Amino acid sequence: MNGQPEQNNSGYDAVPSPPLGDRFKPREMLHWALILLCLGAITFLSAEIASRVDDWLRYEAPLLSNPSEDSLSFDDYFGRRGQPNARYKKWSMNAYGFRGPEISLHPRSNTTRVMVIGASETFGLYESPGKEFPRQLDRALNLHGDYEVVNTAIVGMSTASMIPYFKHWLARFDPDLVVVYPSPQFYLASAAPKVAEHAVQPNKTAPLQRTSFQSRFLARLPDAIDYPAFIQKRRNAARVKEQLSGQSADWVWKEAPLERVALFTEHMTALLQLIAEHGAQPILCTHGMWTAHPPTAEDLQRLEDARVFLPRASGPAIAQFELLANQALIRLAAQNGWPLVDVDARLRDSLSEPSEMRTQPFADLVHFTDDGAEIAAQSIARLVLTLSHKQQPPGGTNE
Amino acid sequence: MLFNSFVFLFLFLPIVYLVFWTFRSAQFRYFWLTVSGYVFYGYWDARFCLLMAFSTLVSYLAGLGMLTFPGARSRKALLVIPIAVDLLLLGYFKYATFAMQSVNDVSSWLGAPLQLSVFHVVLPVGISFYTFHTITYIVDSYRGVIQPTRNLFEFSAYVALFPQLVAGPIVRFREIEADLEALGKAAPWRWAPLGMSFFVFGLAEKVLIADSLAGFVNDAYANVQALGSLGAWLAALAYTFQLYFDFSGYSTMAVGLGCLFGLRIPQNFNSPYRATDPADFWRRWHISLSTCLRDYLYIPLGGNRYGTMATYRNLLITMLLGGVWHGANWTFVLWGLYHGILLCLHRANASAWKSLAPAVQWVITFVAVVFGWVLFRAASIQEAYAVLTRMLTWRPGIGIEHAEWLVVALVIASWLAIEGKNAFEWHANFRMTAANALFLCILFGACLAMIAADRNSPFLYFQF
Repeated sequence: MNGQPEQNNSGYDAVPSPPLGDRFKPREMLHWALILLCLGAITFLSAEIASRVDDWLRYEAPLLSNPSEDSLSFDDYFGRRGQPNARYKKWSMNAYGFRGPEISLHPRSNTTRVMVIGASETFGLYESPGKEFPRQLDRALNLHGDYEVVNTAIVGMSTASMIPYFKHWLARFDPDLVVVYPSPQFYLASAAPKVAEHAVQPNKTAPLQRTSFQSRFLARLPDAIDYPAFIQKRRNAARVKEQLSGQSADWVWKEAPLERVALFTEHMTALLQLIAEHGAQPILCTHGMWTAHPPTAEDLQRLEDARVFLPRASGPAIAQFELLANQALIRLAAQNGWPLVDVDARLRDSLSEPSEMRTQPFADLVHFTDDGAEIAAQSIARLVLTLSHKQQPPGGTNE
Repeated sequence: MLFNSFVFLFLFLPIVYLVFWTFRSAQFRYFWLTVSGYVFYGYWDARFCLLMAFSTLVSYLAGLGMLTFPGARSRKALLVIPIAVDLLLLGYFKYATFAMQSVNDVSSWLGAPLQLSVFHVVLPVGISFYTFHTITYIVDSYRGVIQPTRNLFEFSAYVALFPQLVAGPIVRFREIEADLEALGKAAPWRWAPLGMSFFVFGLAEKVLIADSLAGFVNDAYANVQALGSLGAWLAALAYTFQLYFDFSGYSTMAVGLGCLFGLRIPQNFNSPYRATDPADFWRRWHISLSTCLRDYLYIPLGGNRYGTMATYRNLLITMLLGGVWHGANWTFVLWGLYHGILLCLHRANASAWKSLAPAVQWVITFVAVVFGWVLFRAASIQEAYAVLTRMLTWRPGIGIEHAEWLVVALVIASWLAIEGKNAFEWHANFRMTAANALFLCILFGACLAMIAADRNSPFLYFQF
């Protein structure tokens, strides 16, 4: 408050006369174009090195490796599973190909091993590292006893694929409890998901890890570019239109296809029975989706955007299918006495909070934010604590 | 739109720059700067462009009125009415919710709850800044410090100038008037190398340093109960440097962008953590705000002209209102009051203070500022109390993941903030030599890599 601030504007005063005239000659233009090209190359090189150092510091990704999104999983004779020790962006796999810390083949004595099986919602796409719901579940449970939560989710895995995955790979890890967070929307794909009857023949010539140079800086760019809503809407519409070309109008489901609901239920039943046969306690979860029933105008827009991946289903059909699939899960749990966590209901509760109290649980139609993952983790933790009898949960909630 | 986004760097800025220099006349350049300012602002929420346009028009008409009606009473009315309109808008959008909530809380505490229905008003980004711009313009016109402009586009270009629109610096019309007047004659290359250098320097401050610290700070404040004493100190120090590099980075980028368009925006930060007393700190921190508070509040209140007690009163009022300007929360009120008390204490003990060794003066000042930032960062008084308690009482443990990396980041950040050259010192006698160009390209590349990682946090001062 006392006296004049000591401003230092010497940078302005010291600027020399303009280095260039207003008009360029052709030779000068070429000269400057070459200089700009060199500077651009240096900038790109710096961005590439910085991306690699950043990945190494944050996620221990080897400096010289060239991973891609595909590096996180691979097909072997048992079907699709996680690539051991893979590193790509914020995602790190352990030695067994599971996202998260290292584990032993068999759980330690006195430790309850909780396995979580699912697709990208469980694997964690948008959450900060360590905030995906299985990790948050691990932290919540370990406040009450000795638990080990293993995130076995694989991006894009349908319930049909989970059956051989559990049978041939996950069962050997001796889980005590298996939390299944299914993604019903895979059953709206153009081709119905099938359970592989036989072992898959992997492509032996394909390397497990990409070795040719791939820019980590350029790989980061798609995540960082946010198109304005109106442009993104047009891009999505164009992609859907492209996928619909050549199809008749009745190819698109206007309502949820009941035979696909039945198929989903059949596969869920088979998976849960398989888990129980291996001596583990299955726990079902309903699936959360950012839409009301019936959908609002905003919901319909989000559903329409999702048609990029599910072109065969109309927006309302996707919402209706979600509702029917969750009802089927609730029935399945009641009929078989399997415990169920109504994650969908908990997420809906948070969306219906007054705006100033509300946390946004969804990053897109089905994937969680950090807060959404916390809601899922907390509601599952309450049930797990009840089941394991290690400690009564606060209030003894029966989900 | 954020300066540290690809849409700004590779779409908005190149288009605005190229079109701006294609125009030859000042009038077209004013017009283009106005349009680009509104696009920049409307990218966040187009509805609030109308609010800014209204505020601009009111202030412009006030200036025009002062030229047309030179009588004392008319001028007084043209001073009071537009300022009242501006402050009412600011009050409604920024403080209405807080005021109603506070009335409810206080009446409940007194045992006679009023239970006013609290409605939540969306705070338009940057309203505090452009309101300050328009108010300083009106006051300076009234005082005769500036000649109000008759050119609507010149004035709207000044208010909507995108480099300083949403988070300052608070550039007064008189500081930029000469450059605005000469805009038609400005040469595109005159300031371009300096502007690019300033911009990259600021981008690095924000993206490489502030954002690296942001993750640690957010995690620590999200789980205050888990913090040990050491963790609380680390979190407070991390926020101290995060805030500085975040806001200083923004201001430096604004300076750089100004240069690209032939406008010299003054320095806003002069290595504030080198300060050796509270008054020195305020001469170095957010210089454009502290000088505005001095010229438009402290001095009109009487400054130090009416005795010791009046000076203390004026300091407290000025800093209290400075705190309230930052946000509608009791934490900001307390923070302003705290700094007012620091200034008073320093003034009351000036001779004793001078007898201390400079290193001791610096340590006391720095620690006092760090305590202030705890109030500034906390979401509530309870949270601030929890962190301060952790800092002042021993509790084992740290409570911050990867604290070893935070320590490394703090060592680098503190060296850069205290020992390293600030943006203006670095650019003294600047020439775009090959070495400088190479250094800036490397720095820009590293910034792009971090922006592409999509971990950017918005600028902290956007909330004000």
